[in-house]
Amino acid sequence: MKPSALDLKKLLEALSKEEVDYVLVGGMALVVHGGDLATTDFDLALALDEHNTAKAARALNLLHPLLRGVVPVELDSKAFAGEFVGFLTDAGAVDVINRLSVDGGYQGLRERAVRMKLFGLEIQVASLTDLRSLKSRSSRSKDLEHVREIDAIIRMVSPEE
Amino acid sequence: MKAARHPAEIDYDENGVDLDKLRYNLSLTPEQRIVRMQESIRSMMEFKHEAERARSKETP
Repeated sequence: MKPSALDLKKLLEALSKEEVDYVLVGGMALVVHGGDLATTDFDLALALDEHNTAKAARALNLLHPLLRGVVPVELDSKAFAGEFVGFLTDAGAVDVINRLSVDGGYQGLRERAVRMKLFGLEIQVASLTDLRSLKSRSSRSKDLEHVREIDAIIRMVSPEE
Repeated sequence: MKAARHPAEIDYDENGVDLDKLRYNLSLTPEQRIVRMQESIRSMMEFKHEAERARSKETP
């Protein structure tokens, strides 16, 4: 198995090159907001229309995806059909999360996302409130730690909430 | 350079979240936060690979 490089810039460049409609979610999105818990993968939410999933497939193909970390695959627009699909790429492990437990699904997530420039690229990062919703549905101890951290950040950046 | 703090002085919230670390992270730009996390993970992976290599040498 090849080592996980974890290079967000490389991933964002590939997504930007193909103009993919996505929102960064998960642990790395929390790091962007100021979180301190280590994460070893990138979680993305995608607009699931076929046009966009085809662009996402092209973007990830630029990063030589491996299924289960070992099997080289050529992605197409149908590659993201499951609830949760993960690949190891030249930029690190990338998971696509399709079941979004937030108000309004992907469109809601996108509308509330924080837009920012990272490594010279315009990106959309899930809001702290939506990250909390996504994490709080899980019973994994790691996700519950994330929820506690999100609550602390929300209190720090918006003390009145 | 600031003097190191005694562990008892570190500010935790009621859930055990280290608020000093979060304050530090919030003082960085989002890009700096990502770079810092990636460097930490890279160091951790390198350490893990080294440990695996050392263990495989020990195996008869």
